[in-house]
Amino acid sequence: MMNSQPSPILLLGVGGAGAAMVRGVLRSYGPGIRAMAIDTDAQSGAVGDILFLLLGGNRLAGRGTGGQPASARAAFQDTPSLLDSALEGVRTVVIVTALGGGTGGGATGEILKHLHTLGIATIVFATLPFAFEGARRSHLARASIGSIEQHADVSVFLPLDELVAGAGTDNMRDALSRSVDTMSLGVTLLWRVLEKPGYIMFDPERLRNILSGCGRAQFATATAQGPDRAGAVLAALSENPFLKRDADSAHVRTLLVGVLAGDDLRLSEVGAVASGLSAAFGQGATLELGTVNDEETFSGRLTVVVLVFNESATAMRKTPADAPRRAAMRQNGGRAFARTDRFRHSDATMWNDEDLDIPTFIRRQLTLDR
Amino acid sequence: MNPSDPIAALEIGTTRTIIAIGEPLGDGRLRVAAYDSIPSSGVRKSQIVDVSQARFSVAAVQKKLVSQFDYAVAQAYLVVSGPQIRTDHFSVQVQVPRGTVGDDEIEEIGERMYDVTLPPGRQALEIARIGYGLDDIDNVTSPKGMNGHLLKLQTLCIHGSEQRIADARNAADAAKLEILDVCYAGTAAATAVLTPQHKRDGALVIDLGGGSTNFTAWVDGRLLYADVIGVGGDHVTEDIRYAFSISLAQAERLKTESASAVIGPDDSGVRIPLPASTPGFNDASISLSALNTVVNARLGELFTIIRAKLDEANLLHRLNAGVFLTGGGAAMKNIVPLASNVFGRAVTIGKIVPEVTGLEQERNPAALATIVGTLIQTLPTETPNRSFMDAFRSIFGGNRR
Repeated sequence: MMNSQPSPILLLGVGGAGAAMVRGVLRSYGPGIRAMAIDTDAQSGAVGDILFLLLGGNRLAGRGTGGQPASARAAFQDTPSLLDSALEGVRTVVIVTALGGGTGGGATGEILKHLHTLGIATIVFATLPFAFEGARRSHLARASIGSIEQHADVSVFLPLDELVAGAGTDNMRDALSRSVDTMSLGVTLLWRVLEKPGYIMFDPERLRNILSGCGRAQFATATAQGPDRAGAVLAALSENPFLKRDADSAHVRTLLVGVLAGDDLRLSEVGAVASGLSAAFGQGATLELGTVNDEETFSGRLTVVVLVFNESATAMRKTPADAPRRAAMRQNGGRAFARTDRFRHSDATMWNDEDLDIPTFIRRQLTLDR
Repeated sequence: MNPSDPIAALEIGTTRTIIAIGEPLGDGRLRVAAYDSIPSSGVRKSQIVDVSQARFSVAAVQKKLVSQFDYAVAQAYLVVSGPQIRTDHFSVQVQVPRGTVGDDEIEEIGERMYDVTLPPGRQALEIARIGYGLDDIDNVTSPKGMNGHLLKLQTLCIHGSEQRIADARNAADAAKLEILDVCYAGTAAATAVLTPQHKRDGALVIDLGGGSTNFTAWVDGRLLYADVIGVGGDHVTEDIRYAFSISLAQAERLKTESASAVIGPDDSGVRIPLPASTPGFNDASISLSALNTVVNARLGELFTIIRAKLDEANLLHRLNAGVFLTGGGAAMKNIVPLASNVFGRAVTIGKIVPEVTGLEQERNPAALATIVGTLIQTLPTETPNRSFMDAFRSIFGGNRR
């Protein structure tokens, strides 16, 4: 019965690299992920192995953007409801994309904006180009970050240089393959904790609540085997470049942790991971931990996937998103929306600058399925 | 006053005005002998905005109690709630001249804890012990017999607006109902549903009222946190009314009869008939998915705010007994799974403690938690709450007929 219902989580690849990442994730995870891709280049969908939507068919005729983000942005603005038919029952969309090119950098922000108006939670994993790809791509990538952060609930930016760190002597194919595998662990964390739960589990709405509006996140994963594999995982995480880069432990608010293992997972290992991470990020951080019991994939291994959200990142995201609303509030006696009749003459109930007497669905701009 | 004399409690709530009468049975037990209510008028967000209308509501309930139960209520304890409620922490200290804490010091500090200075216009409703300290040691559970020089006591003071409380008193006075004392709805609700074990293990009680939501957190047997959010079931009703451009009565019926706090996978495409309000328009329908989206957004937000406050107080992880929902809002369909999602803790609808009888036929006893808890709080105990120390006097003035 459960499997007959469409999954509430959709994996969406944006752009050619995004489509390739979706394929990589599906290879890494196996069946069971509701996935699709959208691109301006018809060739991305030519393989026919995943659901594919051609973006900007009229404007670009399936030939791509030529590296122009503005073309992809305009293409999605032409047909913002393009995705809607594929979103039935979807509550959370996980987007994978690469920044620095045309479609990923241009369309992702617009797609996020549209999903936000539908009340769908969004998580973005976006890679940033290698340094050797040059200043222009790097500039284009960084120019896209603002609109993604503005509209995504969670955004994780992964510099490819750091994703393949330590793979200098590997051949290019192996290094890139490993980077996709690493990213896949983070991307598929939600599916794993929901679909293959172990002893501590989340449900989709709980995850959605945890992730809503979290802002920019750091991402890290580590795997170990052997008798002290929990200790080895913690040691590896402490050296992870993504966590070391700019995770500010003094401001870490939430850690979303997946402990992935086979049937041999020990309670003491879960405890060691939880207490180790709590110690590393301070008692003020909230630890949300789920376990995944997948003997087929993780037999003998212990893998820990961590998403780290900190306050400064959240504040950074809120500023541009809230700016228009706050401007409107200033123009409207301090309120962006009209209060309803019943509470019009009551003292306002305020929380984080929001007037709670205004219906929540109005303030959240939720679209009602009428 | 005879310890077995009946006691009465009054709540002038946003959606209803209720009076309950309890008969002490001894040993901390109580029988709820009678209770009745009518829909309130002149109340918004748990605060009276029209004293004459509120007076009418109180008088109407008194009349019903006389006609249906033969109780003429002349005195009662008043339950108060609403965003006027605030909390503050205080610390008092006494010297330990002999170097070892004894009964004298504990008694003295127990007296001094009530000497709090509140801002003008504020009235203390309850002062709870949070924990002792001795010299530079904090979190001392039982200081008696310990060596030190300065005994400290941290307290939590729950206080309300003198004016708002006076408004409620005035409404009762106008209905010829004398108010003996005032207590806070949040702790009353907890008193009604938490056992001492729950309080020791760590529990959160959320009382979902019509105009506001009170919540209290208990750890190690002590009240450590109390707060009120001026959002309640009235907001849910109003959101529904606004979303579908219908009357308040229709919205209230949709809320209580059709809505769910969780958006179900099968809701999409389902339409439910609008309760008829005007002849000839009773074939209209609305989307169940849209209805539940409106309710889910509001209640999910409310719980998320409470969670954020408890996170900030570093209490959420200490609630090992779980979360207990009371008040009229606890009857909302699927409220428990929604709360479980947000808090990540076991959530249950509060059950009235076994020391209380007389509610066996009540369909939703959790909705009576505040009024029942107030009755319990007025029972004589070995360590009575200070605000009720002098409260055990005649309530009925010999008027029971």
